Amino acid sequence: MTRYGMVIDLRSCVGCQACSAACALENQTPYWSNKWRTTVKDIQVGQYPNTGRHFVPTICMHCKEPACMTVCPTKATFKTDDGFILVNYDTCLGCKACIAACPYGARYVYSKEDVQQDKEIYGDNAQHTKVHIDKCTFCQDRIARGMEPACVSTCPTTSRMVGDLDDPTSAVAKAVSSGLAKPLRPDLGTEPRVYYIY
Amino acid sequence: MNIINKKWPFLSFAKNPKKRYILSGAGPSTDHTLTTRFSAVEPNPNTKGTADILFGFAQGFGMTDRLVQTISELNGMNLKALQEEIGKAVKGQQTYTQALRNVSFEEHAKNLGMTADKLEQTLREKGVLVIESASKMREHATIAKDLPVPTPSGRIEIYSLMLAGFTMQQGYHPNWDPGLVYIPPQVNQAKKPDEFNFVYGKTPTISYASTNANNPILMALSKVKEDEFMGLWINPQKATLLNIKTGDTVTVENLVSGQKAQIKAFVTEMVRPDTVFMSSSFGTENPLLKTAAGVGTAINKLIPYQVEPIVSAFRSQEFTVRVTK
Amino acid sequence: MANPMHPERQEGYEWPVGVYLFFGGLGGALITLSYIFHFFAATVPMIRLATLSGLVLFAIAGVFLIFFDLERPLNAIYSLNNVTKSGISWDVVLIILNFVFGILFVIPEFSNYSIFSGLASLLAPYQVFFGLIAAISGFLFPIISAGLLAAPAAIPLWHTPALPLLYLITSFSLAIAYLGALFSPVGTLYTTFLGGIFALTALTFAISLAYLEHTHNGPIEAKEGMHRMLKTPRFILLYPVVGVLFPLVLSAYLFFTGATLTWAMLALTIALFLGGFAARNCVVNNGIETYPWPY
Repeated sequence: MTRYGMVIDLRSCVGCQACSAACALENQTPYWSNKWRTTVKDIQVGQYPNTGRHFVPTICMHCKEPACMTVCPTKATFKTDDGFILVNYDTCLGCKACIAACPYGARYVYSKEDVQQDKEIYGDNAQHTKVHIDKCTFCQDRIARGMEPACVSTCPTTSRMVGDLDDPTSAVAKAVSSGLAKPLRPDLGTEPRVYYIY
Repeated sequence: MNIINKKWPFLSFAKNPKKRYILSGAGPSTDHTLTTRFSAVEPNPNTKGTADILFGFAQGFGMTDRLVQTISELNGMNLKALQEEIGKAVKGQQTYTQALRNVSFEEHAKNLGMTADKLEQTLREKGVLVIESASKMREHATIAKDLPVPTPSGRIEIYSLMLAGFTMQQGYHPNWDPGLVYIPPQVNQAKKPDEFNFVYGKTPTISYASTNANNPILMALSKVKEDEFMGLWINPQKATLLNIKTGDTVTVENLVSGQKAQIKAFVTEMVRPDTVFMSSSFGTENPLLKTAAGVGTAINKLIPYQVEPIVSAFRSQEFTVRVTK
Repeated sequence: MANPMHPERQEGYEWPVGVYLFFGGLGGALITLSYIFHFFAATVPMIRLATLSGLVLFAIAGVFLIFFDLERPLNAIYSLNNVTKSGISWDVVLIILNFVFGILFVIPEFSNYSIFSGLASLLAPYQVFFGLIAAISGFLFPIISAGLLAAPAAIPLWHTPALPLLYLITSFSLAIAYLGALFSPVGTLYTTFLGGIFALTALTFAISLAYLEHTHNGPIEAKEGMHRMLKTPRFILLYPVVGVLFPLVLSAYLFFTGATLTWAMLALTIALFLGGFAARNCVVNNGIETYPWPY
């Protein structure tokens, strides 16, 4: 079984936010409410004249030990056989315990107004027909068709890479095993599957 | 410096190409290359290609022939071929954009010893056709390295006969000095504490000046970082002095033209203390652009029309501004 | 690691959660107290009122949570799916236990009403047992519900055992003051009530200091959250001053001097109510997300 992981190279991200746009289109996320499954943080450092900017794409980490799954009272947040963390839109209660529990800020509410707007824009092709807590699904439909997630294939600087963490020849596995790519806040015990090079 | 045998200047007809687009070099690459654009989606039927718009104007002025002649002279395109294709466009058999494209393709294809269709197919497959690499061209098409330059100074001397002609007609002016002198920017160097240099630039989410500001997703992404993208960047040293915080509405006044505009401040280390920066991407007031209308501040409100007479540079950062809260 | 230049308030929990924690905690404390009174010669009305008030508060708390906070209230039927791990599932279990066993416990207290007499006599032999379950559930509710906030590590301001303890203790101190205000106990009972309020408020004071220490010396997001709270005049007035120091001083004075003031219990109730509300509302509003980014 493939153990998908993602590596995001912060050295080459230019903060264009094409990933946010591609994800919004692919997954019909509510850009009209300023809610995104993946965002790019724009962090300024230093003082003039020694200033700099770092761009940090954020995304659901699809953790091995997800805090969001522990707190979910209805088990709407569940783990697939491949290890992806998904939300069952039918049983989600909307209690937002998962939003508070996620240390990476990966989740948001797909509200009633957002569902209505989704229907208005996409009509019969609307993907979100029920109110729920939404987050990155690693583009499951695309993965099933052998494609990369939308954010990965659109990135113009190839800052995002996906691959099988268990395949030692894959770029992501090499980046992780060499220690070049690191998870964020490993002390929290979530064991993310998205690693960052910085 | 490379002197290339044939130079095909880039005609930037940037709107909706129907099928083919005219050929050009591959941007900053110094190889002798050809590339083109192919449309990815069908254009909006309510739009026209830039060539069609320009020819529309020319027809209105009764100057179609003159335009055809100018294009031929400036681009080196065969006049007869151009006239034939444009003639078809005049009769409505094809668009002007298509006409120019056809001429461009035919001529390049002929030079390369292939048909226009073969050239198109090659470009579709390869993207960029390298006719001759820069290193190869350097072997036969450059001034020999060790040849001394036969000038009084022994260096390459640049002198423009055209500008010398202007001088003879109009008298001397630094703008048309045949020796291309440096004209310092007209910016006040001795600035008061609330006076700044003015610079502007783009945002990552909006291309060109403000072309796609009306795109709802791109506007939504711009609003995620609204402070930074739509604000006036001001250094904290000056911001503290002027009691300005991020989010405060400030008035920016062009001290040369007197133009004023209001904008929200964004205090950041990313700009020099003597300079303010804003984006050129926002501020349209066209009510038909429902997403973008009224969002942000337009640089047009601050930049006067003071075009440089020879190359039409806008001199759009050649003034100082006063920022007040 | 965290960058205090970019603190972001958590988005999940807003004011309904504060109300839920407050009323639910108070309800649980009242039911637990009513069970305790059962053994200590308290009057029947006190037990009745304590239990019924507790149940009403649980109902209001539950309503607040379900209808004001949940995005899909009707899916509440699935909320027991994760009783092994989810704090909310535990809360739902506790609420159900409190309701069911609280009602079963209090019915025998209404044996003098003819419509209840039959049922009361049926339940009376088991009253202590029902009451025990209700009391344990009631006692656990303030702790477990605060565990919603405290358990995940994502919000450092909340991630401390001090918070559940604080909410537990303040629930009980307010419950005692509330009952005292309604029943105006005299003599030994009065002294006991005052002693209870004093002891619990002293504990509240101590735990608040420990909580302050946790935020001051803990992760920077916790410090930032606490600073925001301390910059809110409403919080400063309602919690440390009105909610802790005033009751502490008043109850200490009355307990150690033996003086009686007719308005004391009412004043303590109001003070502890306002303080309790501020303690939950302000904490919920100022939880700052942990900052995991590398710059």
